[in-house]
Amino acid sequence: MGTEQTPFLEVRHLKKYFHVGRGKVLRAVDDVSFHINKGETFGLVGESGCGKSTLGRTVIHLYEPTSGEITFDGIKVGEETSQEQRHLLTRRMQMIFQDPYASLNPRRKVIDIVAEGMDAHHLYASEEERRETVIRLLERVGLQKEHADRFPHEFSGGQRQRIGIARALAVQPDFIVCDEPISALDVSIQAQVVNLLEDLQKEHGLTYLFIAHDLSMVRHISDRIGVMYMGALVEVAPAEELFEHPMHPYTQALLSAIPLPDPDVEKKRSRIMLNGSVPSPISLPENECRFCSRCPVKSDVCKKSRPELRELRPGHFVACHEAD
Amino acid sequence: MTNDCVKDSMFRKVKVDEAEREHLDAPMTSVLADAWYRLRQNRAAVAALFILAAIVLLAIFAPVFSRYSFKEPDYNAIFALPDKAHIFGTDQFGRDLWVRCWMGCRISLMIAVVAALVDIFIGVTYGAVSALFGGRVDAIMQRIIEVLVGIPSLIIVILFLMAFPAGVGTIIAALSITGWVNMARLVRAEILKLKNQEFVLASRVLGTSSRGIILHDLVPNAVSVIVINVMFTIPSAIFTEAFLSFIGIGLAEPQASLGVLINNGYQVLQNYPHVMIFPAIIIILIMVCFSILGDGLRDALDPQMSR
Repeated sequence: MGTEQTPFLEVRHLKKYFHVGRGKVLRAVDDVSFHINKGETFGLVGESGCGKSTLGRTVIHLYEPTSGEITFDGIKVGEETSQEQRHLLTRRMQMIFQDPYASLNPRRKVIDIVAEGMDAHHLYASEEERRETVIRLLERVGLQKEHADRFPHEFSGGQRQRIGIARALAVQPDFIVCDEPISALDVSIQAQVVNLLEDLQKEHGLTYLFIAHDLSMVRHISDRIGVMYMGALVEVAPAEELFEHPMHPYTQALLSAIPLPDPDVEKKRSRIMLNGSVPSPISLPENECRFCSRCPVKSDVCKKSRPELRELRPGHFVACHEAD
Repeated sequence: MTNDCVKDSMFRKVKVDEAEREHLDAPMTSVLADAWYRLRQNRAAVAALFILAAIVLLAIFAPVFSRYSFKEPDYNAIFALPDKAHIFGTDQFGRDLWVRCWMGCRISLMIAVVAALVDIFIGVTYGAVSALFGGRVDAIMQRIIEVLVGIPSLIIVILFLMAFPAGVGTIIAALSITGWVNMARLVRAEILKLKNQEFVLASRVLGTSSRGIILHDLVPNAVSVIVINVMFTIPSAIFTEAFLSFIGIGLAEPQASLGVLINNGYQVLQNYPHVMIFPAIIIILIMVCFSILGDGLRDALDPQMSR
């Protein structure tokens, strides 16, 4: 993992605010910077509502960022980017969605769902080529060619997620945002889908932004992991490093909450319980650490300034005044 | 702090046996085929469908194949009771009620269907524009609707009919002025719900144009709401038309609509009840059957809604 190479995707000071009426502002993503190298899987974890999905959707330009820069493969996307350039980028950046029951149009056949991106980007010359490509994709993700003419409601959750993966692959992207692609699936099916994603990554040299809240799965699939809390990244580190030496008190608490399959180990383990409540993301204090209300190690300085990400070990960034 | 939790070595890759793979054995169905199947399971709805089909066929063909005309008087057969020559009897001018009933039914249905089509056209466009543009456009359009809802629609309709010459076109226009509001609200709600669904987001990520999203994602998924609403608009349009004709501001003689016929019969109800009973039965059948069929369609198209 060379940090020297130019990153494939670079996000700098990205902010995404939502106006929720009466002048109130929801800061879903607040000043987030990170990068993803080519061919790497970047895991993004955090509790529900911390802004993971918003971050993923902003990176892929489903939402217009409030401010900040997103550079993808040397192309900076901003207001001056033309419609055509954006259209070209939609081919290279794809997304796999969380809910396999909501992410497929119930009124279209599988062949039309998978070919939708090919239709939008004119990636085939004839009707036969379209069908052949779809069938090849279906077989690649573990479905059969007979499935092409069926409708989504006839499939199981795992099969639907495979259709979603085939749809994303159809436009030959090189970057895929996986927005909790396995959290709605059975555990046995989760493993199959993760294996499929890993195989596809090897075959096509894909780069993943993998959003999840299942920490053990993220550890398995990711090269580097970012931990989000209340719209900000609090810790970024290589997967191994993060799990061996978590430095942010929030990460430590998260890791201590992972259930282990071994009851003997589980009994001996001490869990870090967080006290205090999650602050409302609508009225966050500007100049104090967001984790203050729940932090077990907070001091006076935490109330006075917001911590920035600091590199405390090689490649290991933490946003905490108390960490060292 | 070291952590003794998950290690990467805990993960092992398993091979999935081909034979254990999921298979689809059920016959291929589309959403519409499924809906048709569910509708057929609903006996009341099927019966309603057949009765409505029969009424529509009679309304179209009965006047054509009868030897009587709906407006030719026959002063030798005034107020004839139902018999072989006149199946439903005759009215005060000796006009055959069988022909007049189906003629009236034809006009009532036509008014209702055209009014419903206008509702669809205006309501769907208005609701879709309101939902898709959102923000200020949506707010203004919704305020306009609220003003329209605030005024009792019967008053608007009656004033409209006073101002313009009576006729089929005027009645359709009067019914349409306020009729589309309901449709617009339903379509707006449906599209607001749909447009943030993940499959619409997926279409946007894939680079599909707005036109493609409207055509393939939004409209086909809003169809059931539109169809169900039409099933309830048609009988209410028939009823409103009948009501207007009954109070004497709808269609005029010799034109026949179900409302005109009931009004005629009502005046001689004590002496010749058959003049009113037959059109009344037809209008009741139409209203009840549309309601039952509408309920059945809602359950069939939206299975999560029932029970």
